Amino acid sequence: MTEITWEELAKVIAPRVLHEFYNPLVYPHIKLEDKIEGIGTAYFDFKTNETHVSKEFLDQLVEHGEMDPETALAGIYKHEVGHYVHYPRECAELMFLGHLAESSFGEYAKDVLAYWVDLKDNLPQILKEKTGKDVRELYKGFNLLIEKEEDFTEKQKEVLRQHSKDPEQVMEDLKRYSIDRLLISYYQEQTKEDLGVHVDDEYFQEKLSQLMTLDFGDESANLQNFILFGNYIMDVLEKRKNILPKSMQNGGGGSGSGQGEGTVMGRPINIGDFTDEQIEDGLDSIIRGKNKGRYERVKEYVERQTGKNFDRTPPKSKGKGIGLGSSDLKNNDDQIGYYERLAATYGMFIHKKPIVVDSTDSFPEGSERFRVGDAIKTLDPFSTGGRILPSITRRKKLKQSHKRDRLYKVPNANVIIDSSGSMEDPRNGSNAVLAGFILGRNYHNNGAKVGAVNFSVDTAFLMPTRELNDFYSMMCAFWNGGTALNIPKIKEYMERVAHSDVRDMPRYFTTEQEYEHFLGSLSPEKQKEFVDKDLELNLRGRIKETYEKVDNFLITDGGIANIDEVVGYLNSLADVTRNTIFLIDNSSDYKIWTEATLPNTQIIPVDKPTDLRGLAVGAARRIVPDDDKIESTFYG
Amino acid sequence: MKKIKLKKKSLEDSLSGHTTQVEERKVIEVVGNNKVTEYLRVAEEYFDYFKRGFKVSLIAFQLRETVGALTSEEAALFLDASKVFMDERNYAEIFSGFFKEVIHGSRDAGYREFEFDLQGFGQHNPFGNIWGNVNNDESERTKITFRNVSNSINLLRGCHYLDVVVKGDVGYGFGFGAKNSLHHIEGNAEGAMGNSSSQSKFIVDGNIDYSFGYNSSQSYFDLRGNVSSHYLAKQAKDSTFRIGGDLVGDYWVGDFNAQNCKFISPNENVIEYLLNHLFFGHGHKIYRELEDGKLQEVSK
Repeated sequence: MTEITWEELAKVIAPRVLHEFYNPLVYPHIKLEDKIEGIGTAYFDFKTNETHVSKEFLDQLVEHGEMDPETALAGIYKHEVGHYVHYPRECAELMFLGHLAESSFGEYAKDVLAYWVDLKDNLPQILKEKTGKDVRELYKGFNLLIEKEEDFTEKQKEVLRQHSKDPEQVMEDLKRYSIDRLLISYYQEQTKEDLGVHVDDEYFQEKLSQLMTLDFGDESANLQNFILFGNYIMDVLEKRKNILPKSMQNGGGGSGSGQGEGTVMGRPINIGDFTDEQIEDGLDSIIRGKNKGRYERVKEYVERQTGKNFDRTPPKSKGKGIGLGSSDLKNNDDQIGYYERLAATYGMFIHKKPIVVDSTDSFPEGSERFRVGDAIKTLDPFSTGGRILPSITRRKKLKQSHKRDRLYKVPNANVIIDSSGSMEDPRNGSNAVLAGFILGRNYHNNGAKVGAVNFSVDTAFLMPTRELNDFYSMMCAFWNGGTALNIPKIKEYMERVAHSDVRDMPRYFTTEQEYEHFLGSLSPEKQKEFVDKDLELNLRGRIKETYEKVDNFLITDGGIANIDEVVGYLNSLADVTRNTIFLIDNSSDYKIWTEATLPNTQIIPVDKPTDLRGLAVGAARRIVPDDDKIESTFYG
Repeated sequence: MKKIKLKKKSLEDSLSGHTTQVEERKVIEVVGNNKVTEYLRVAEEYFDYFKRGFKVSLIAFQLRETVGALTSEEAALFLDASKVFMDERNYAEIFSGFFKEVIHGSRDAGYREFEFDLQGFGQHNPFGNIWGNVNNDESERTKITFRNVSNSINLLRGCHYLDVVVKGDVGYGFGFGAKNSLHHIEGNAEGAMGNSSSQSKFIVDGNIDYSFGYNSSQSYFDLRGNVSSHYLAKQAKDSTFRIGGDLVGDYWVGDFNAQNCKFISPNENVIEYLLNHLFFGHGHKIYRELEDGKLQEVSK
């Protein structure tokens, strides 16, 4: 017989167990502690991926649970690592179930969740003949521990008697209404191996048969099974709660590891056990799979549990525009956090296109003596007849200049969003707003500016900007009126973009009155420039370059009063710009729009958020000039 | 450091872990039929069936024939578990049609007492029209107890022969168009309660907000808390209004179209107000409730 310490044994057990789990990304180390306060047994730390085990609990399992040390430690370690490998694995599942549990099980929510997590962790393990043996033995030993539960202390007995309760009866009832025993009994039924639970009580058997009707292996019914499981055991928890007087509840009962609150294997896993980064990832996963209302309920739950805020709203921009207070445009800036997070889970590919930009160009101008440390490529060996002579050979001096050239770049984005009454209110989860956010976020990440036009009958503009929060704010704003796209105003807007020398340009303007107010603030020459214009699109010079630099997006449900005018406008842009129309929740109009044969225009029907996945903007082959060469202003 | 004694290993134990092997695991054994699980499975499919125009009554009938009707407890459990469908588009509208068939099946199977907890459903609970115009006579009378319905709106419209107990508050529009039904609200009630009801009884233990009993007939309103009402008893006919607490706020009792209503109160301030403000000549009567419960008419 070998004598060994728990620490020495842990060094042998840890790699063996991890090998059985096919070596997950967990460091093979068991953190042994003399006693774990408030937990008593063991737990898996999701922040460090370490398992903590109480040596006191191990000793109890060996002494009273009649287990051999290797099996006890391996069983516990397998259970704890199982939380990482089998269930819950990550916090999204835990968050979702947690918020469901809160509304269904009230004060028992945490207990139900803890038992559920342990059950889902154990089942795949104990059903394996060989590798599950340690876990089965662990629960067998644990049941023995419960059976041999020590009696109440004299002080506790006195408290019970004061409440007219018979201590022996109370102990018996505690064992009768033990969820741990119920679950061990369930494992016993599933494995057909005697784990030592032999209870003939009718109530106990009824609960067991209820659990036996659920298929915990059916992942498609996971949520439903969770609620049914919780309802079945909540009844037991309620009965158990009423056994002890209030002063002895919450650990006051002190009747050993098995009879207190919590589960067999230590404390319930909390959301707070995860890092902020893991929680953010979990929320991303939920926002992608669930609707807006559900996501908000889960987020609220997570924030309540952790006491932290998980909104991703970017800081408010300091920019000021002409006030929108007098208009009917309703800002929904509180919705930015939701759409920002949701849009972050959608990728998008933007084809670069040749646009006129200011580029820098290097050219040699003069020379000077080459010194140690100068870039070797600047060295001019011809200055010394092809030889390199220290302190004599010269180097070229490079100068840089700016030139206008046509280069492949990601253009700026101009997102024209319909926020008329027929569109979904951003507060209720709008595919249109989501599309806008996806576009804004991806163009911004590619270094482009993002501008916005939010229209109903009135129109609000945001000049192309790198202030992403301003763009988001404009996407969330909602007019809730009729639908008519004011094409002359759009043209004015594009001309204003072209005249970027208007330094005092406000960030946005909306109604006629505000527009007039804006005009009034300009000099007479500038006013004339804005007011006297031909409604035909004049694609020359700077205006043309401006249009070329912009990808236009129209997000609408299609019910536009002046649709002919809009189509005409898009047609006239077709030579120089790329247009994309997102047709929201109106796939029946898709045919009408496609039959309008808009050149250089992509039409994307969006009926559900998943239609916005895997977008690629800009069909490159259609915008390259016919002669297959990039038209260059530099080389003429 | 404390030492532990290890048992001697068998040859098999010594070798285990040193050889690579893929181990199959047993399948989870399911014993017996869980009706709720079956109903949930069909309910989930029903969200698709609904879009394709399937008749819910036929689906529910088949379900009852093959699985059996749900007991009262199972119906409550089914409702609770249906929260997992709340992400479906038009959840309340679609699921309420299905749930209506489910609990009517249970009623037909002889289950006449239900208890539902609406915690977590918010305004999306499926109980808007669930009992509307269904019970046709006294023999089909059914009792439903609700918990956590405070933020629901238009709960139970058009109920016939129904006994309702609400543990807590109710939201706006409760019990619209009720007939031959009894409602006991053990909390506060928001506005528009019992509008267009007939031969029904409403007991509110807490306070009540504006506009209740509008267009009611032969109904009884026992309002035990304070009443801050606009348009109390407007267009009501032959209905009785007992006000246990105070009449507070800006209110307008009855109107030219209200007729033959009785107003009862143990509160002298209320009686005085009614005497001064009620439209007379419409057959209304005012009673003082004495300490022994007897009524003393004080109408002018």
